[in-house]
Amino acid sequence: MTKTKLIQLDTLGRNISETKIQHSGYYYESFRIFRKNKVAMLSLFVIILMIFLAVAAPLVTGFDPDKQKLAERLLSPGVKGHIFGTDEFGRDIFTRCIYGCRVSLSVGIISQLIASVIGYLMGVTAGYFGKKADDIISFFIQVFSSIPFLLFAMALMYALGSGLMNLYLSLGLLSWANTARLIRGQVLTLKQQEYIQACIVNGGSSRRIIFKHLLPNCIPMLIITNTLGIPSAILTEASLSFLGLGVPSPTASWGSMISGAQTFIRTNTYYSLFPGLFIIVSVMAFNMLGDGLRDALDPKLHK
Amino acid sequence: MSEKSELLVIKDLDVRLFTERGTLPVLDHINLSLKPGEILGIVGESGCGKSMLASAIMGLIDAPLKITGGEIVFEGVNLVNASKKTLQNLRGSAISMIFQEPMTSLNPIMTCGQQIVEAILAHEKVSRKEAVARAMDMIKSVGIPMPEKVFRSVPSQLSGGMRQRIMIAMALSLRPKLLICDEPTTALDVTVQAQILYLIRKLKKELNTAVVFISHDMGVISQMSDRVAVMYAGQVVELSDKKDIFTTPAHPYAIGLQAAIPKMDGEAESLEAIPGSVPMLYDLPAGCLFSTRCERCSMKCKTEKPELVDINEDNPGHLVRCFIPAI
Amino acid sequence: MEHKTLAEPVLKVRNLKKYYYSGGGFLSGKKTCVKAVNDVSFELYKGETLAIVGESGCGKSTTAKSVIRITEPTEGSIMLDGRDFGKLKGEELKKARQNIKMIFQDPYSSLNPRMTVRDIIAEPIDIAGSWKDKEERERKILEACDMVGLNRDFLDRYPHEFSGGQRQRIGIARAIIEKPEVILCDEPVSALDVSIQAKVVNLLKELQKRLNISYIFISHDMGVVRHMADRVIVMYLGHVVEEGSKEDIFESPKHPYTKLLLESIPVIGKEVPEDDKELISGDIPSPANPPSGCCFHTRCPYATEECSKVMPELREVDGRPGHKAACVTIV
Repeated sequence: MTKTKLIQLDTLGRNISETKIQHSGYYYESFRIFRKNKVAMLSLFVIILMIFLAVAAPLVTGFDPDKQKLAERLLSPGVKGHIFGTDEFGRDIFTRCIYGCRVSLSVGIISQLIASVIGYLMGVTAGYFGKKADDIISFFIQVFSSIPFLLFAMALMYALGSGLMNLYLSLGLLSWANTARLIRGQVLTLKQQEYIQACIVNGGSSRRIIFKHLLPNCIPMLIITNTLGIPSAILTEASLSFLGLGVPSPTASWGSMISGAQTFIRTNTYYSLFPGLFIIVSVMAFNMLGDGLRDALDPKLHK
Repeated sequence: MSEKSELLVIKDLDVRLFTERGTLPVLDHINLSLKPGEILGIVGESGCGKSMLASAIMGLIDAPLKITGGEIVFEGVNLVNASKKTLQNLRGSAISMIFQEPMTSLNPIMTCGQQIVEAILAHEKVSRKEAVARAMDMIKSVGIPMPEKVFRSVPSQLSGGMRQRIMIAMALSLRPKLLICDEPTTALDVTVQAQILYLIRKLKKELNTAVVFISHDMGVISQMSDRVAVMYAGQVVELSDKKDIFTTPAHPYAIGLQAAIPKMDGEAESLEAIPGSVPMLYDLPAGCLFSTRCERCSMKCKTEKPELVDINEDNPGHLVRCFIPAI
Repeated sequence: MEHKTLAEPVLKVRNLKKYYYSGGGFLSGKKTCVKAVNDVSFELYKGETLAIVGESGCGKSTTAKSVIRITEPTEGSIMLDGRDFGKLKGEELKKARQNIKMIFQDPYSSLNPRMTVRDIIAEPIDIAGSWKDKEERERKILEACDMVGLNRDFLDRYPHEFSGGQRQRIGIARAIIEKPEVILCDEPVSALDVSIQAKVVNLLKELQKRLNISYIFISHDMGVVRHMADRVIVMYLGHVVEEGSKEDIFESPKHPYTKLLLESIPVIGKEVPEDDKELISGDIPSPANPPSGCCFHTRCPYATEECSKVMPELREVDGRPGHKAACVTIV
């Protein structure tokens, strides 16, 4: 990294510039390990491809996802340029699957970002300040962990009304408890570290400790838990949309597509098959990515 | 010194670590021997391979580590290529081991007494009643006050010193011929350390057990050993009687190690530190492994590897791995 | 040493107490109180090293942590530069903290693994805001770096790339960057190998000479203490049992515990006597359930009936000023 080599002497006047030290940052080292994991790299590729499809959807397909063409109802795959066929309103299924990526991926990622922020703040407050704050937050973590996930999501969506924003919010509000519990535990161990005491000795405020010392050390855990939380958010979104509580029609969503395909499952199996495949592939990709990240970010495997 | 009288002979033992950076020498050509009833002290700083040596003798070397050469002969049996069954029979009965942290080597949910009883039953065909009686005798002999109470306690209810006593009771309950102590007092306070060291000396005398005593503390080694091996970067650099090594050390590292210890008598303005640090295993010097830190280093030391040789013909048994030993 | 007693001490600790309470809550049974530090008083003079020695659980670390207020003391006064450090709050406390620093035991947990060496060393001046521009900050960092003999090229690296000895140098650089008057060293070398330990001890002594720092040096290693200290306090179960100059403690120890502590050290050249016997029997009592009277009477070879009833006061022995011991059997 530095080109000029200075001769350094220690306090006893001895040359210490030759002391061998390897140079690498934590995240660089993690990436090096991650890169060797073929399954995780494949999952990452699949996810990036899906994100690309979601963002560049209008460029990938020439069809309008919402425009109904009753003359072309329920076409088989491959007919008239519809590679996955069409649905009961004559809309291109491939196009709707791709636009469905937008909903599913954004719900998965944004809801988990919300969960990360709430979870970290709650967890760190409970773990760092302890006492009363810990009692209260731990109680709420218990409460939120004991509510049936889907039922509560349904109730929230009824109350808030369907829509993307409300989906982000309700799923985010539902999944913070797990993050908070893990962060609380992590902070309880980190708090014992001497560098936290060193910061106190130097007059550092709680804010400095929470954001400068604890946060960077919690980020690997936040990344792992919330990457592994994305699949369950995607599944819940699909379930809600299936039940008609997710995004309002005609916006394409994998869950609502499967719901629409129900009636035709005997005659047009492919109609339910394609959105189902998208759900399975995306969920598996995020799960395997999370596993890969967990291994790569484990400091024990570094070196 | 015929080999027949030796209890344990380690000959040219090599242990290698297999990594992506290549094959690294964790232990390199170790040659040691031990007579019945003798205490061999092994001293060195962290990473010198002294604990690895203990694992090798116990047959606890596991991937990515591997014994790639040499032999460990215990009573005529080569442990390196012995079957799993033979090793299992030897471990615990003829050879046993005491670790640095007794808490991790004791089962936290079994009472101390039970654990000793199980150890006896696993190796000897005795009735449970007899085993219980022997376990109780053992607990009494390691100087535990209120042995009946301790017999029924789980390890977490005891102090560090008491736990180490239980470890010793367990290790010696089968009257092993060889006891390996890997830093047994490092986690203990100095007054408790004195008690445990006394206990090991006393029991060794009573049972005539041979002991391999591993420590980083020169003071402890000097109190415990008959012979001492100094290790550095996976090699034995000096091996001799206790007297020679502490009064006339010959290897520059052995000298430096003693000079670095704060003395309890006399006045010293600054301690003599050994310059530099221990070389990384993947970056070992071509010649003598200590050449990077040695003040007497010559050209020969940088290119050729010294062998462990006798330095004094009149007084054989003082082996040093150095081209220019201090005599 | 005499002239020092005339000067005003830099740090004066009076009747320091730290009690830990546990239990007593809903369903958790009887409330217990652990007296980790029980009535400890001492002075620290300019440029001297005061060592606090004792075995684990004797309260030496808790004393340091209470003095520097990592944990709040239960009782007692801590006078730093003529002000009661123990009572300061907010900005005043932050300001006073610039003058008292700490070096920690574990070189692995005392440095944040996600910060570069530069940011670690600069943390005290970043918090105190004691630099105007980046150049001044950099200048101070380099100065501290040079003083502890750390290679300047390593500033952008992360702690895990360093060995224990070098990490301890980084911790020392962080402690001296603001040139404090007092540094508390909590077992600064006990996690290091002997050859590295010597380097760090030498560095600490050299810095003391250069910057005229006063150290409180906490250690269980009597050899290192003998090398570092000017005065020594011996603690046992939260009490000070003996206090005196280095010569007093090492040449003519008075308290039976100090004597035992010194005898227990395995020293090269000290042969095991023919009639090998146990120096002491029994275990260190639990601090949660300390013995009555003199806390050492359960293990003391000279204990009398009186020892289990009367708690001895720390008083001067031998007519030597400053040499005090808490024992009734000393005449």
